Amino acid sequence: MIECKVKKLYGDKLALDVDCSFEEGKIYAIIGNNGSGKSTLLNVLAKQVRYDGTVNAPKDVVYMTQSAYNFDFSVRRNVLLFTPKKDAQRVKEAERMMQAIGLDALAKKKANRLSGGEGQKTALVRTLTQDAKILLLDEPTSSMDISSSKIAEELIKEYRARTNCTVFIVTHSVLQAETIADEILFFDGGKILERGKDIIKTPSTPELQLFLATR
Amino acid sequence: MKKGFKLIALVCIFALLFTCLTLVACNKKTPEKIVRISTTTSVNDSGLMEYLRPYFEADTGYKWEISSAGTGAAIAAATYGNADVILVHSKKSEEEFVAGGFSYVVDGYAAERVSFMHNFFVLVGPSTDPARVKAVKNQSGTTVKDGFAAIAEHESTFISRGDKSGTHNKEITLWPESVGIVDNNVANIPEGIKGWYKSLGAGMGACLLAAQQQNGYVLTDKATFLSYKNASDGDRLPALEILWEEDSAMKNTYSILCVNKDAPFVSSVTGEALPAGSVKIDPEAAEVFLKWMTGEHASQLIAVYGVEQYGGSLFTLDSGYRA
Amino acid sequence: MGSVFEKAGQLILGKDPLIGSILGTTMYMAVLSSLIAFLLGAIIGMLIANHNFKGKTVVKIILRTLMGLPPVVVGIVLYILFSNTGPFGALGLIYSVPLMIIAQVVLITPIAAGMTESSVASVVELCKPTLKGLGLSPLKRFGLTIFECKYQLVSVYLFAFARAISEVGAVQIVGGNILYKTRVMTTAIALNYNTGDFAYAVALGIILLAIALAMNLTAGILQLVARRRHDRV
Repeated sequence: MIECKVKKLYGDKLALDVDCSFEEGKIYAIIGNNGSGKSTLLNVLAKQVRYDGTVNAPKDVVYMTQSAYNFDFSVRRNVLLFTPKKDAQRVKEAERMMQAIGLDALAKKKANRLSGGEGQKTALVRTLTQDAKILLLDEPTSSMDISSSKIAEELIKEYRARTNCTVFIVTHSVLQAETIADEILFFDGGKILERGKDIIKTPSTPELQLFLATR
Repeated sequence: MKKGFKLIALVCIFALLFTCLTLVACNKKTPEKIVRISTTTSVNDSGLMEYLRPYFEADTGYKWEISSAGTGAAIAAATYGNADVILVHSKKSEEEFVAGGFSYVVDGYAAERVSFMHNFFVLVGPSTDPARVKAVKNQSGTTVKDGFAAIAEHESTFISRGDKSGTHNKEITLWPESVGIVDNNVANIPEGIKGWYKSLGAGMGACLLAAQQQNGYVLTDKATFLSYKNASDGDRLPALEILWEEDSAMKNTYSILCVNKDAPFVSSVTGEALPAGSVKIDPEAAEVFLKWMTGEHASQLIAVYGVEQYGGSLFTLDSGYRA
Repeated sequence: MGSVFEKAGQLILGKDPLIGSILGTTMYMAVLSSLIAFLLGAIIGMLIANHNFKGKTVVKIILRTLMGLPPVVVGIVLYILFSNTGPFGALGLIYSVPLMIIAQVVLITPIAAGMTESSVASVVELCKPTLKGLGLSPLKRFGLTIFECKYQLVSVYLFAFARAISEVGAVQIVGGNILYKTRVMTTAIALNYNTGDFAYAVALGIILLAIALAMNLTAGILQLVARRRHDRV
């Protein structure tokens, strides 16, 4: 069980105010408007910002931030940056993921000269080569085309199945949230306003109704 | 985040220590016999020392290391313990140096200051001679001071070194009192003469070029003037000519002073007196240099220096400094 | 100006007996001092860019002030400290190349640090979250950050070298411009200007520029080659 009782202020503005718990091994999708506290929650779980309160969560975290950065290496090297060369099975697994998402053709290209979507694929696959207890993904498919996005979702699910970790995925796609998540969290004004499997179908707050209406 | 600070500090300290150690290690002491000479830039610029170097090294087995700076810094180098001997040409500063106990009388010599050679400063100016200095010179019984008076009277452009160098110190003694130049402090230049009296605060070369460009008069040592006149790419001062030379008031005497190893050295930072003998001075090397410079071989060499290039010797040897 | 280029040619061809010594001293001093200053400065600059700490702005302001250290003042202070009557006189470094190197390091380190800080800040800003998110050790993060900033760091080094080879005020004072010992290109240029040998001075300047050009060309070609190799699919 991951428990989170946190307040985070940026200056005077309340960025996050949550008291919640999450089941381990589940996929959580986080939706909400800009500045509603989605990324702040990920930053707190990754312990990358200071906060007031307590977080009871495994320390073993991998975090793919919103602006995925690729290093001045080839795509292949970027993906395998943290995979020991001797570990043939993991190298193979990484190569399989690259192939699945269509990176194999770009393997020798410099990763920091790719298009936004290609760069995002590289960063995502690299993130998924690392084992962790918590996987944090901040809009991991925002620049990808729809079919790639679907493949990415599959890869994330596979990863969860393999490592049995807890996944938090921030997304602006309501559809993606529905397909991938075991539970959806709706953030507004730094608070979790609604959570559940079916909140998209049966929104109970006017905020979520408005949010969905504008999609 | 204090960790970052600590890391920075640690890295810096280690790197600095490492740097210092390597540098000290690299600077292994050469076993050669060396005499450290401090001299003014003008002596160094004249080329005389480079001309003499191979003969000195062959005759004595010593090597010399000549550091050059302005008169003040050249003498200060010795009071800071960085020279065994100084070769300068500024009587007043030399006398202060002696009075401070920084020099001593070498056996066989009459005084601390061994004034072994001289040349003359020359007054140069535009060939058009707007202040009629030449006419003044041609009258009988006039001295160069009358020439300077003429420049002041006509308010013709005059370029002053303004850098407390030997040349500057000489120049300020040549003006008539009425001009109002009292000492070598440029802050004391009277307001009324600033229109024509240009204090540059620059080296001889820069002043000569300024005089060339502004049709001005300038006091210079002859060697530098001639080297600009006979530069490798032609005459760089076509507008200028020597208007007055060989006046006793413009005599420029060069002296050698050996540094006293028991001089009252003070710490360069705190100003506290240092224990006698704690500053490394090599009087033996200094005396080798002094004796060679005032010896037979150097005399012959100096007497002919410049004859070939400029058609006349640049320095005249003096005598009478021996006990 | 034909004669100037002739003179430069003669100097390069080794027809001048002094040029070997001057050039050797210059290169030794410039390479060593720029390397030391670059290493110190780059590490300091990277650390400042990489960390957010209280007083970071103050540190940056101090650094930028130190970037403007007047060389002559540094020269005089070191002269006083390393004179035989000074606290470090016993080291015997006055009028020596090592002291010139120390002076250069004092002058160039803040410049290298400041330039590093300002030129890598944006890159660090970009890659820091990703690096942190990957759960790497601080040392590994630092290594990767340096790798990402390599082009900026090459520029910083080249600038450090250019400063080292062209500085005159401080090295003149602490080195004393002693022939065969501490005379370098710049002090030789100043000397030859004073003695009226402009052609020689400009010829030395041309050689100085040629060295800087060679350095920059080498760095440029290396960067090009590095990029080409990666672009080949």
